[in-house]
Amino acid sequence: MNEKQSKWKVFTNGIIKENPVLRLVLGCCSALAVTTTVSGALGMGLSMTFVLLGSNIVISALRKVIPGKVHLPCYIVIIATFVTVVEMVLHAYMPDLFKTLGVFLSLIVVNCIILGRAEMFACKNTVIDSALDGLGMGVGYILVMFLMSSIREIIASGTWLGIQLIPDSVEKMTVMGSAPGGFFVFGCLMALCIWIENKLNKPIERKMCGDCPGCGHADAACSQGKDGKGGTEA
Amino acid sequence: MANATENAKESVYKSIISPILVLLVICVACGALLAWLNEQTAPLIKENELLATQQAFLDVLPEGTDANGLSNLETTTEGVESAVRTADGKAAVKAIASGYSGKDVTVYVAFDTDGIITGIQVDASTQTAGIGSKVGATEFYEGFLGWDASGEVAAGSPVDTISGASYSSGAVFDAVNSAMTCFNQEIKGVE
Repeated sequence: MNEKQSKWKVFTNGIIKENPVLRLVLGCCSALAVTTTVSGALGMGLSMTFVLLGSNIVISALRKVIPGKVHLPCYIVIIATFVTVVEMVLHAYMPDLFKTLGVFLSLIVVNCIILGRAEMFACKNTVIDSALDGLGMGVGYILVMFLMSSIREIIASGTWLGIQLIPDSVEKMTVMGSAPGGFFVFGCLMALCIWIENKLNKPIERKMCGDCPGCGHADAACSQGKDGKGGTEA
Repeated sequence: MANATENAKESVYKSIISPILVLLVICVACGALLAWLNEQTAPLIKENELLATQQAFLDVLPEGTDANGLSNLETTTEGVESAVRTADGKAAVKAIASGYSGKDVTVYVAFDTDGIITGIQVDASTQTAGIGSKVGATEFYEGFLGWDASGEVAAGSPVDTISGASYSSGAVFDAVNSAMTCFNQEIKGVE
């Protein structure tokens, strides 16, 4: 699998084909919650990309050292460390952004995109590939966050990045700023992503359950092939 | 025999000791890194918070108030987080009350020496956008200006509750009342 994937493919994988939010449907909690403003969404996207990149690199570098039995706790500790680093730095240098992101910043620890990439990619691939994968996934996440928040902020508050676009006299659709509006935009973007994918290349054959690396039933366990025991307890 | 014992020893190492050691080393390394970073950022975070509060106090106090002339006051009133007094006896109080779904609404109130509200700011960023967040609009809270701290505020006096946002509005009334209690009991006439 590694040999066939060129570096560029590894990077672009996360943008359309395996977009973490729209195609793998991971990390939706934060994607729905912080996309009410563009600035918050971008901040979240950048923090997320940093953590994803950092944890992918470290986990991939340690993939031969970490025993299969404790791989999940090790990953969580590494991911939590990166999240805490982001949290402290944002709190110290960008208190406004820190306030906007609130609890969702700490929740990056349990964000399935990061743990998912650690399990699916970083623990089986080289450091460089893992870094590219993390970057690609991060860019895919930022793109989705940017699109979603732009649509929602413009319709719900009439502003974009704080710039007034729709005059105050026009009544805004505030529902777009709350959860139902978030799901609505989410669904539309998902459909759009599938449409783009079909336009770009031949429709990708969706494999049966068990064959697809993005599925929990597949050989997600890093321990497999290392000590032959395989299987993750998660 | 000897081989079997060796194998058993190795498997104990592999299955128990090595996972524990690796996890321990990773945890210690991460902990050390975070402890160091915390030492670097903690003072900055504290300074930022102090600056933000001071800026908010200056925003509600009359223009031209000197930041260096502010003195912090000890306060024990419930709902009041901090209070300052200016060199010429005016005061500003930061009060917090819980609004919709228990999220805090922060109110900064400035009083002149007679206890008349001369400035007020409401931070309702935690409230529902478009509904509760309306209590953070000037049109709502400027109604409190000129109110005398000797009387409590309530819905309708001096301002009306915002329809649909009774919890958020209530939080503002509560916070203003706490601020006035603090002013009456801990600031007014106490030198």
